[in-house]
Amino acid sequence: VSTFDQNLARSSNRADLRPRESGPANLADILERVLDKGVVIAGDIQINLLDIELLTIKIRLLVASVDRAREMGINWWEGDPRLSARAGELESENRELRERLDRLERALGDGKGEGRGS
Amino acid sequence: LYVYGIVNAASATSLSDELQLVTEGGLTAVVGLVPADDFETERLREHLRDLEWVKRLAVAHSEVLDRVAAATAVVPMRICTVYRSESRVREMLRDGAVRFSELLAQLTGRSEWGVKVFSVRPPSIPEPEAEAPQLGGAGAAYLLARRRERDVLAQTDRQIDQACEEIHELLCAAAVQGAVNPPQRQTPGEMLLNGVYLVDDQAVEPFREQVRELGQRYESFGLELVATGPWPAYNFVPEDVATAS
Repeated sequence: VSTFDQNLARSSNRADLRPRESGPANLADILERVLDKGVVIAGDIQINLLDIELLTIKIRLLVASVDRAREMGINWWEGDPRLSARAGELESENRELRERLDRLERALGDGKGEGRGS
Repeated sequence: LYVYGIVNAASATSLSDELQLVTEGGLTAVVGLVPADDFETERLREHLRDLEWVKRLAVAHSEVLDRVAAATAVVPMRICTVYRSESRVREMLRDGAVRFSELLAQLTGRSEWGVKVFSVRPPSIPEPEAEAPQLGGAGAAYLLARRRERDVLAQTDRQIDQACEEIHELLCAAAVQGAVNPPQRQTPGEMLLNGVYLVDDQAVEPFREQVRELGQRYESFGLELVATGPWPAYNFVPEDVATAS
């Protein structure tokens, strides 16, 4: 049992914690605060920047969807990890671009000359 | 030694004796003894690939800092801040003494609150006004209707953008400091604003009252405001301080 698990076990049954309003995205909130600021490995540890970049990408996805990331975690690291990390990010970027394009096309086809940027 | 956060030595006495502390000068680091193996480059690299490990570490990190923050002002350190020895932790405390102390002074008696604005349902759109007498045929009427629909939607979008700006401004006014993070994705309802605010302890009730009041004001826009807190001031610690660099 690691120190973290012990800390966790101890803290979770303490009554003197100030209550926090629990929202549906509480775990996502924790991950966002603790991880999503861009990961920096600090102190005396030496770690390759590429590893950190990779972790940052992965964590963005984790924060984006705690449950979906769990499913992804199953095969996330099969094959070339850097490749699959990129693929995931490119895929979502592509999807966003496609959606923007759709919106723009709709706006254009809908009334020329009065187009209002969104 | 894994460093969770830094507090003023004077207030460290109020911390639970379950927490391990290293004090140097006027500052105290809240630390935990972790197996050195887990944080050696190769093992750490493996661990960081394990989402469950990262998630567990993040939650534990946050739980410890919650306990500390409940007792006193704390500068939360970044996850995975590890030193090889107690003397290295002392060195870090000495080197960062001025910045840690300044920041602790700013954070004392304050905590972080998050307010998220969601679009939970379509805004109630006003009924179109009485039809003007129609001049054209069915095609013209169709175009007119489409144009009106588009105008109403664009107008509503603008109103919602303005509402979010106003919400953020008013919450900043009720807080010491405010900032906006990128919206989280994959949430129930679209997240339009992901604000974080540093709030004086005495101002927490007025702040939450403001959140409730804004929630009511913009209910007809289909907006919902969700507040979380108190959090340690994760969003109000500059990166170089949080990483002791």
